[in-house]
Amino acid sequence: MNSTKTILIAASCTLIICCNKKFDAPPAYIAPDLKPTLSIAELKAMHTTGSSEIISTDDIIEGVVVANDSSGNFYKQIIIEDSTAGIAVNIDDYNLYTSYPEGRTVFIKLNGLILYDDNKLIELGGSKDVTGAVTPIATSIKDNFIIKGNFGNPVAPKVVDISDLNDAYQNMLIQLSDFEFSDADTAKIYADTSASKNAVSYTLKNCSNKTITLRTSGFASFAGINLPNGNGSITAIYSVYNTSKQLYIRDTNDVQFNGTRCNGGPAVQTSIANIRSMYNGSDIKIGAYKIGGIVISDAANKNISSGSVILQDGNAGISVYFGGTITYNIGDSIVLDVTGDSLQNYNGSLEIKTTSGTIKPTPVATGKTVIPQELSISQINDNITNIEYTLVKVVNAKASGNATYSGSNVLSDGSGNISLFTSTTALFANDNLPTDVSDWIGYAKSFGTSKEFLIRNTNDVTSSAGNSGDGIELNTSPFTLNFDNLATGLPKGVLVKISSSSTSSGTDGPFIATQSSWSNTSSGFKNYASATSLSASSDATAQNASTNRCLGVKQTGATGYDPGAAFVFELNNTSGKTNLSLNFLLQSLADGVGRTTTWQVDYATGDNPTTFTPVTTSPTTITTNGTFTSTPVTVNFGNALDNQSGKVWVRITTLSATTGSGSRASTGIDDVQFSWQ
Amino acid sequence: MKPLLLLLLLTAIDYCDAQQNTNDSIPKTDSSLIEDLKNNLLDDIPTIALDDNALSDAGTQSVSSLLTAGRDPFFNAASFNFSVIHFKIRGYSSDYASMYINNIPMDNLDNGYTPFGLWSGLNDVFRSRDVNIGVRYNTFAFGDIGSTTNIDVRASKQKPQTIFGYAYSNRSYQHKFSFTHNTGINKKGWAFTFSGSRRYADEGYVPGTFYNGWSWFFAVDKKFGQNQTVSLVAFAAPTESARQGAATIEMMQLSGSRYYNPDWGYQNGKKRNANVSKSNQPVIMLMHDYRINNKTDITTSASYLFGERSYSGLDWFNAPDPRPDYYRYLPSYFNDDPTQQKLIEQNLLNNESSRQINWNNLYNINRENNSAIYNANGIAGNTITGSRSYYILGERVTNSKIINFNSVINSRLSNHIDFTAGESYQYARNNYFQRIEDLLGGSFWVDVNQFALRDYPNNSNAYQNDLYHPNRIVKDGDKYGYNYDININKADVWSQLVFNFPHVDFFIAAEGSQTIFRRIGNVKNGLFPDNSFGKSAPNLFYNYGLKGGITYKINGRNYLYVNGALLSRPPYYEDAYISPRTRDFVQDSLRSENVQTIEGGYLLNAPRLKIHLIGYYTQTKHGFNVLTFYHDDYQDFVNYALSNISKLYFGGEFGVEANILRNVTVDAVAAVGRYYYDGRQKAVTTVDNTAQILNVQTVYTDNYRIPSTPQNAYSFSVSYRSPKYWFISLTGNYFDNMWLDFNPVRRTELATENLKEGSDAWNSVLAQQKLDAQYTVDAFAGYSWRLKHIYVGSGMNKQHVYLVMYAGVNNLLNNQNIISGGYEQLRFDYSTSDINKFPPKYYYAYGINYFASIAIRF
Repeated sequence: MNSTKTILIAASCTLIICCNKKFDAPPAYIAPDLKPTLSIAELKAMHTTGSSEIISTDDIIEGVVVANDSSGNFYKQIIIEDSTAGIAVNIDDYNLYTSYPEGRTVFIKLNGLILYDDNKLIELGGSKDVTGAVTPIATSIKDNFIIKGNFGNPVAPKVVDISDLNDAYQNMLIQLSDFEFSDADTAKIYADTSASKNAVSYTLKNCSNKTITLRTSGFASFAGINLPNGNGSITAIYSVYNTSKQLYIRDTNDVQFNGTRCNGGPAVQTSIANIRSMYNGSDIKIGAYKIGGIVISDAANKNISSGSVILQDGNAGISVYFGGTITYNIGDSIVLDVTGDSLQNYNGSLEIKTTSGTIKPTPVATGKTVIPQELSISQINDNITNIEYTLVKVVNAKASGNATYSGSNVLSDGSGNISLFTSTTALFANDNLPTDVSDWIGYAKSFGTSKEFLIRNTNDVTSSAGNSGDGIELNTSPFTLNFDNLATGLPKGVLVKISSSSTSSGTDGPFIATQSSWSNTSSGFKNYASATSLSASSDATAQNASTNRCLGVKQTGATGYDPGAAFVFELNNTSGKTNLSLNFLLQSLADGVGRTTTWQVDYATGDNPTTFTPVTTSPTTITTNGTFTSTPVTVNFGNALDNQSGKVWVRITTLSATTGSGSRASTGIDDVQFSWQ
Repeated sequence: MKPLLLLLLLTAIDYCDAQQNTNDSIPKTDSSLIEDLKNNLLDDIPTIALDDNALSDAGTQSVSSLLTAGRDPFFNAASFNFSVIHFKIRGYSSDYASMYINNIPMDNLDNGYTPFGLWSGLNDVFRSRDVNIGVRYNTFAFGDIGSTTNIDVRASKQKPQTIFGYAYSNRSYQHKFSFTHNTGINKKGWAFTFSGSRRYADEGYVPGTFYNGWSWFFAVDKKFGQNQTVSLVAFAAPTESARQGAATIEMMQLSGSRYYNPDWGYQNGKKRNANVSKSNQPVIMLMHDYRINNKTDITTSASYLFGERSYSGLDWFNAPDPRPDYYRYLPSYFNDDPTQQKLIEQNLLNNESSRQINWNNLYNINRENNSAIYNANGIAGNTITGSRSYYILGERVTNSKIINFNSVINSRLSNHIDFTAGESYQYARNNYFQRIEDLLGGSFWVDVNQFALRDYPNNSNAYQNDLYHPNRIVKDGDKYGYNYDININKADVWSQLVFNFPHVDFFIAAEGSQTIFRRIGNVKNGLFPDNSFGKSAPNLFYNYGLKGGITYKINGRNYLYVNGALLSRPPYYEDAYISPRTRDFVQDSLRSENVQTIEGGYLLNAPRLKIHLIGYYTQTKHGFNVLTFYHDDYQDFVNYALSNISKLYFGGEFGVEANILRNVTVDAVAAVGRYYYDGRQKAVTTVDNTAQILNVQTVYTDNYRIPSTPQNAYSFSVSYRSPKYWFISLTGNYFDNMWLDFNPVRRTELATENLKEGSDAWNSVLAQQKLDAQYTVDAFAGYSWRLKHIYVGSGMNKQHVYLVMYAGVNNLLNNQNIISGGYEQLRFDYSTSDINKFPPKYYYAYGINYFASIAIRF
């Protein structure tokens, strides 16, 4: 068949599979044959501290890259050195390490570049911007200035003695021997891994107590890695910040602290339970260990000896005796090197007695919560050795004995009795002992052959009958909320709502527990720095550093915020209370916003209220806007909320739309105080 | 809703004569010469990226051309004259047009687009078309609201002839060789067709774009008796072509060209393009046509499509952005540093290589490092050292397996009633993955997620692309990154009745369908270990379609008609999954889109005058879309999930074709429409690294214009057709009311919050850019020459030999100001609200360009 033949021929012609040939790979890079005309030391000698010099000669320096941005500890910068000196070269790009790996030789054609110093650290930059500040070399023209040489020429660090370090070593790779982190820092990480990513400085010391600062960027990929505990050599770029001497490492391989510490051996992290298990019936010296725990004792209320603190770690707790005066607060998280300390039986309970002169370590965190274990008194009595010095809660128990807390009373809950002991030095020792059935939080311990239960302060005692809800229990007037622990969440009984109205409590708004800056523009309820003690111009760093926090809201056009944002206080009841009043600070935090938010206070009663009654505030009109202020507001509820056995809801709310144009206010409330008679 | 339904039921109909059936390849007349030319030109139009959607599938970024066909003056102009500016009929996106071959639905089930590339270059055999525009009835499917086309490519439908052709052009490709042979049906009932073509260019109109396309086609028919035909068809168009990237005005000015293409660079002195699309997806079809009696005919078709399409791009790991037009490399980024700004500007102005990809530098960086990968390939303690590639050329691949089955019965119930019914089943399994095409001098790539690594540097699980193969070392040809399948099943039944009476025709049709799609993850993503591997929950939709129309025949030449349709359509998977690369989360409250449309018009079909005058009104509601782009601040891909998208389209279409003198025809066409986004959209923002919803915003889109098509388009042409088998024609086109695709991020309260309402800055952020009106002038000519005294064959089979020549010159006045496409970048600088930090990117239509063809037919 003629046609079939045609088809076959044509098919064989055209069915050739289409394939593209591979591109020929370009030849390997050949470094140009350049010769330096200046040494780096000669270049640096041309600089006058505090000024800047535009280089207009066709000079060339040659150096080898000793540090770059591969770990993120250096940013938009490479460090080069030759046999005479080192210098930082600033380039406006990320991931410079790909072009400038450590050990690569580079030639820098200096003509057009700027020699300057950043707080006495001499660097090269590209130009000056319109404000006169030196700018880094733009990446699209960097190849005009920085000529890549061959690579694979690693530079050995200069081994120096700390006493010999001087500006001649600036930006050179150096090595110091026999250094270690200080005892208090061994449980920490290299830098701040929180959202603010702050750089962190640590003091390194050698065994003759000579010190130098190690500074690490929060953007370093190793920021979250634990500091090594031993002693050894450190390789680093030597840097200065004016007259202070600093080291920057390239990555953690630069820190070879593997040897024995000056005071003998690295402390090993262990649990309190493990330390407790080391007790074999007689007092011992603890080996090279460190422990971490959260403070559950209240030094301020003094129902504990002034030199002792109680730490809990998981399900185990222990008393630590330092001597002196303890200032830790409940919720502080402590890491303590217990090497050489004594583990002893003190009046029937285990205690760590630190060696004399031990520094009380700075808390690594604050505001941590320990949830008490709910136990009956008989369970406490039966398990005292396991649960001693841990936080427990006894519900529906009644105290009896003296008229006041002071001394030994008896706590009973139907399952058994335990001695309720309060030191005569406790601040609440002379408060009346409550006689109604209550819930008790505290810790138990042995005292000789008897067992004792101790509360920390009177907030540990809440009436069982009344405390049926999730709200605020009004015990002692005034009841105050300072919002300083917002990072752990909203305080009990405080709610944040959107889409609220005079007839609706609205829906739960999003609360962001991490610190937020006033100028952040996304909507939500925030953990802001309080306006108190800061100013309108305080930047995000200052705000984040402030421990005085306030509860805030950023309104936007997002549904439910404008109007409808509300701070709500849920009071379990006002039984036996009259003349309730409310004081708080209303704060305008975002300076310069265009719109004004009008706030008001109202209240309601019952479990699911649908009618909120507005009350008069003083001042009468309360607003937040673009002017940075903190306004004290007073509200008197008169007799309207007297003696309510059910829920009482008090709101600081925005029920009318904002006025003006532009963006909306960042509003904070702080130091909320309920008082009554 | 109810009154409209009632109206449709009462008024349903037909206007048989007005329908465009274009099985007109025989006999060969000069009008089909024009059509040939036009189809060849359309086949040679570049594909461009429609938006800034960084990670969409290769198939979605192409502008599909419509097929030109038939004698409708309006459709001819809309599909061809306006194609230079990507005119969309009635403003509809291409998922409102559907395409069938041998009754088999060809549209991609994942996005509704027509895969024209499957048969590009095969114009000689894809000419027998049945095109219906708007809400008309079809004899092969229920149809879409934009246009519905069926191409009959069976061997027995091809005119017996042999064609050798060659064409030359300065567009996407330069040379085209083609060959076609049709046997016609022989005495034993066999018919064969073979066709093939080769198209290529080392560099097309745009710098750095090569083209390398083959295509082949084979068909055989066997007739059994008088009533049954079995047909087999197989074809494919394996093609590779380098693409053009959109560019900012700044780069066009620096390069001195509106056709600046950032996607290529010199390697060893040759232009190498990073952005190459490849496709090789053969289709095999089997069709059975059974004429039961004179009144009833059943056709049954099945098809299988398989193979890959892909496109390549640079990928990089913790390394500087290799794109030469990255905004931080350009003078506009250095407004505060005039000294360096000047240097950068001079460098870019004077040095072509600085404006293009620096391949040598990428090779050098890959070679010049010695990296250690710990716990490589998931083996603890296994350390691999070598030159790790920081830059690679990667491919985003779609590997498809699609099965279609379709059966249609057409029956004449009486002299007045035609009945049609059909059912179809479609199954598609698309595998989406990334593959390494070239390590660019390095020895390996590590398959980890650099964005997750940046956020979770100390969580060795989070940054794994595949927890089953942690820290995997991959090389040329290996898969990496994402890897997932989308399975789509669609079953459809439909039926229609067409009534013909002396003065009134009407029709009514109904359709019901079920669509199920789901994601099947092939890797376990470290960020979403519970939501990335294996089968996701199915997404199930039941949909309906109803349409009807009535035609009043005033006389044999004048017709009035009105048609309407109500339908619902399932969302496409691309618009449903928020980030299918990493997880199986779908948009909230997924639902079907509702479409309502009504059209009405007047047609005159006289021998010397044809008029087409139509008005239409269409509303769509409850649409979805997902946009993905890289965000500097989050250092991650941001997914912008849009819902509640409503659109409104209304306007008129006018076309007239008049034979004003003997052999002289004048065509005038106008399309004037208004296409709006109707109401506000909802946007839910997420990033690839977390499941957290960053925010939920309202996008203030009410009355924003539907972009990327002129809303006013006019065309006027004069043609002379000589009885001596040649023709010449001249066309002028004018386009207006074109709008740039807008970035929804800018139309939110968050973007305008810090701006004073009504201020210039506020207006500049919100305003939608209207593009300048444009014109083009095109000229075409052709000649079909019967060679004297030259014959093929002998005796009864003696045949004349024709030499057929034609040429077209588009944009004769070399207008280089025509923005043919573009988009606002999706990134927006909230801190300064400066829209020029990430300015829009554009494509310009070609200046003067031509296509010339010569063929021998016998």
